[in-house]
Amino acid sequence: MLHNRCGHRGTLVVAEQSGQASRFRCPYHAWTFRNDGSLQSIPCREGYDGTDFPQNDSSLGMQPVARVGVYRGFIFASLAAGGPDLSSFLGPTTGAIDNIIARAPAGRISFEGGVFRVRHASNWKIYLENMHDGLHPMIVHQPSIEPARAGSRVMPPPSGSTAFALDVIAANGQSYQAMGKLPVSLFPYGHTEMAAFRSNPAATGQFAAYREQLVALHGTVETDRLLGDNRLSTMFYPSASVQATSLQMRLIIPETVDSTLIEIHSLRLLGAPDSLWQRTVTLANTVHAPSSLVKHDDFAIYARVQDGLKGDSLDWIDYRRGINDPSTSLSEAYIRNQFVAWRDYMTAQ
Amino acid sequence: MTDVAQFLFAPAKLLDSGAYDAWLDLFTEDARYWVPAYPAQTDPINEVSLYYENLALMQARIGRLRHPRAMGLPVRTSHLIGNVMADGQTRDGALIYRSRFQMIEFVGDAQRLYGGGVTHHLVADGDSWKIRQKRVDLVNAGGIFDLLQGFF
Repeated sequence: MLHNRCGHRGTLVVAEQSGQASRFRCPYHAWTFRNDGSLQSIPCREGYDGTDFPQNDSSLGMQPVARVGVYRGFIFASLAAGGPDLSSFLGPTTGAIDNIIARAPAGRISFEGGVFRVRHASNWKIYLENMHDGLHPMIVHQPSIEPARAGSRVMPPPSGSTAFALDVIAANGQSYQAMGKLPVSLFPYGHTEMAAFRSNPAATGQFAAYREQLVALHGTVETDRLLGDNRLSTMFYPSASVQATSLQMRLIIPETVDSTLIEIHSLRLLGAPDSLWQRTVTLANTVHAPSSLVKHDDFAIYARVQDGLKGDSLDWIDYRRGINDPSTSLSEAYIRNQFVAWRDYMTAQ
Repeated sequence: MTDVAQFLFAPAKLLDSGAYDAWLDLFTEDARYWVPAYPAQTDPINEVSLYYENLALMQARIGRLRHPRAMGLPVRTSHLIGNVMADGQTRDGALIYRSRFQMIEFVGDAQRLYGGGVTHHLVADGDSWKIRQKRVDLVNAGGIFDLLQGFF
């Protein structure tokens, strides 16, 4: 993995979101780099005669990032030469990746179907601080919960993917009591994980054949464990989150103090029935997209927090909630856990 | 029969005045409202879309747009429709009409501009038409999006 910067004048070498290339060519002065980043050729090299321009040196190449690690095909990069190794860093978060891959009958997954990219007018921390917030859905999402509930009550009742989407949107209307039963786990390095309102629904109804595929591979006990493994969102602090149940992955990319880019990817379980993938697509469209009825009210709140914090009437933001019961979605313990990691990063020598 | 261009101006006027129920009445029972996530997208089932909604989902969106606690409302829009051209028929006999649109949206303090191509599948309904599918190909499909809540 390389830094996307020409060794000459600093130009961004590659502008594409994805693709393949046998070499990289800077569009400014045609410096050309091998795939390992080393400098392959430059035009009019004699112009450097009389200088100490290196002949066979990687110092002017596209620089490799400091460290790269791979966990089951997921590539992680760190810009810091020091710090924990990938295995220590990930800790129990790998359970979400393991679960998703095990649910794929082919034992592999792919990123498919397109990517949503959304720009938030707020700091990245505000986004992360909503990640496991069980106190806001019944308030912030009331404008989508109520129409979704009404939509489920019409006659004849909606079916298929529509019923599923409305059901997921309406599920935000859980009581505080129900939210208080949703477990949140705190891990080292700021990582966290929250359970879903219900276990993976793909085990029932039209997905019975899929379940049989897994039973043939893993046996009944292990299949029930895999499908019952209840993970709404797993936060890889601070730059990614995986929604194991709904098969999405989000990348959190800070741009400026008040701008954050979120990439929303959909994960396909290879070997599973097409209908399962199509439900993932429906979920992406209706719940995760920038046009989702749910997300809009979240985005708007993040921007309101960003705007409100421009006032300096108070020195502190209050994250005390749930100090005695840090293990549910009604506690702000997961935010405190993020700040412990942030403090450690900011004070590391 | 109502002139198709005249018919296509009607939904724009209804959206701009917030008459969402009357707007929804212009669609058939089995209609789809589709805004692809990518240019030239062909598959709404296996690829993600910004909108791929039937009447029930459109109704839920309208319910949110009317909710007193929805953030970032009201959405005020101004649609401009043009270049309306007939482009044959679908296999099941709906007329295909292509047009271009520009929509100015004002929400909160921000004015945004959207535009692109629209493909309508129209079926006769008495002496007028109903929309079986409306596909909106935004010029910035595949780009980075801000908040989207209403209809184009």
